[in-house]
Amino acid sequence: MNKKTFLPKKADLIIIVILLIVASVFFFMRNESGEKTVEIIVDGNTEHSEIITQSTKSHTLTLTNGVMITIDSDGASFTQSDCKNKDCIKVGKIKNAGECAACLPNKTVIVIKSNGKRLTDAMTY
Amino acid sequence: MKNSKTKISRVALTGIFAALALALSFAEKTFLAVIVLPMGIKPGFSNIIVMFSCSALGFLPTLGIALIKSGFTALVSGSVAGFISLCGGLISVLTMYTALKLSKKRLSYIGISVLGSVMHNLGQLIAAEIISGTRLFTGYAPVLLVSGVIFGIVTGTIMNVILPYINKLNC
Repeated sequence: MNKKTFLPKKADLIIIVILLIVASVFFFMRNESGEKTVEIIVDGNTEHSEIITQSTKSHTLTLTNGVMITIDSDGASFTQSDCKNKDCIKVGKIKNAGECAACLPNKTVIVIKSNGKRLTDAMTY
Repeated sequence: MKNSKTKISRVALTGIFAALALALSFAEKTFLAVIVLPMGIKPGFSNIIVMFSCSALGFLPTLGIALIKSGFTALVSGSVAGFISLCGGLISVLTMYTALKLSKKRLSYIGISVLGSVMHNLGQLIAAEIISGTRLFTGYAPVLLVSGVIFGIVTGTIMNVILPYINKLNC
């Protein structure tokens, strides 16, 4: 038996490289500059939207479904929820534009959006 | 897998594989309680069993294993988690089986497992989008793709290493 059967074949490497390229395309598509807006979406509807800045103080919101979300100057996180596996809390604080955290049993999502232009746009002249 | 052609042994093997897949995902959960990975990333070791079942038993038994797995998830962590697990499981079984058939040995288990885990992640993300009614894709896609590739390589390598020994067993 060929002893090198555990090594990847050429086609494996091609697939891996293609997927990593796609991942990096999505990574660089993220829009990170400008003001950050924290949006709390429940069942597809935006329940709360707030622009966060350096001076935003840490505060906790309690939604009607009992979920508690803490927002501070650099991000937002789930702090309390009645769901079973608590994955939403384990995810921790989301900080960058484009990131999101979700508590699916409660159909609640926190998204950080950026309303600024892309960095490359700022460099055009 | 020479004698696995009779119906009874196939049924028995499907049961054993399903049990193994459940045991592995339980072991993984326990193991993850110690080592915390960010953003809900999981290695998905039960994919090893699903992948092996794809090649040894065929499409329908593997689909059955995926159904049993997500049914178990639904019982343990609720129907939402079960639905997400089902979407991921079905898409990944479909992808891995198609890849196995189409690639005709040009792909090793590493490539198949990478495809399977990336599609598993994608299926779960689609399920999460359906449930939450929110577009989550662009922000989360890099994480899903990169973690799928990394753990796909890990499980695929494990599979490539143990497969010769399983074949020697001749069960």
